[in-house]
Amino acid sequence: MIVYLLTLLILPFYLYAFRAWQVSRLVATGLVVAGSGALLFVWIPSIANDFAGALGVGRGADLVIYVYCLLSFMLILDLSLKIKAQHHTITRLAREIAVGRALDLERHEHKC
Amino acid sequence: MSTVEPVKRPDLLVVVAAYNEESAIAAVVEELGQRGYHVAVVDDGSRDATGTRASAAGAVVVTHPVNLGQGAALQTGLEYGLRAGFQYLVTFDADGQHDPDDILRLQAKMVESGAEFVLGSRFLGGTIGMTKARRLLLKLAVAFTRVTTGMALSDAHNGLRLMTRKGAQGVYLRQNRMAHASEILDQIAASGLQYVECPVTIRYTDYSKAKGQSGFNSINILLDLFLQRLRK
Repeated sequence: MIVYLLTLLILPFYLYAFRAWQVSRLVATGLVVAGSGALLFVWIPSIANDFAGALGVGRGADLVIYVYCLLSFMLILDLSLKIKAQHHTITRLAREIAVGRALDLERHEHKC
Repeated sequence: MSTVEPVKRPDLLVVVAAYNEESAIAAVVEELGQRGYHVAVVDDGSRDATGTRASAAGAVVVTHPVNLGQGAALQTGLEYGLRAGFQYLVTFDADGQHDPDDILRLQAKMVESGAEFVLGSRFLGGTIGMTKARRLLLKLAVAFTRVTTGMALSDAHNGLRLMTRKGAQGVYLRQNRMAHASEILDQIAASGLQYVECPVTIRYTDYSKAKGQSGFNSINILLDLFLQRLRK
């Protein structure tokens, strides 16, 4: 039962990765890789120990925590990029207002 | 110094990005105005009287409704210049550290070389009052620029630049804050447009040192550039 529950919790990462693709391909790829790793560990727990041994981490449980950290990092990075994108939109809006006003004022002064 | 005639001044706009510069902006605008330049001050959401003082000194003032950063202000100034029909655009600092007479040297260099961008270099020209720490930081920025863009410049973060209309149309600064200085070089390198350096003089005063960026800000710049590279 817990396996299905964890799978359900991990699946939204793929949806998130699909959306993140539009902002950063690196972040989206990282999410897919980390999500796939998490799924693998849920369905074949013994593989975590094999991977951990191969990577020199020690225990599979430690590796799961590292994967979790990687996922969190990717999500934070994605949020940072989204905030930057929003800031860029605000900048364009502010610029349009500023330039438009200055040009309007100049035209008005020329008329007078 | 070259004897080549500079480009005509009526086609040239000096863009000054300013944030809370009420004590220095009027003198900067007046110095430029006395030499016959059109000046556009981009008031980057200042909380003081920067805009009114710049306007009283004779500049066109383009006002950001909110503070966005120097890079955003410069891009706004460039867009204003392009939409107002100027053929040549100069970026000039608001804190009085640039010499207005250097603009003539940039113009002469542009005519002589035919380049779309003329970039000021304090290391080819001179500096007054520069600290050793600042010199070291700027040299590191030069090395960083060489590695990331392949441009062999002597000064990578000089705010005094002259560009043609074509050059200005070829750049679009997305870095709102100080990383724009690296970004513009990136874009110049990527555009394939010709650029040259020109000796200029930078005067460091107590005021400009206080207004200038700290060494720690270089970490922010690197982070901004890293995030920019992650996009797509």
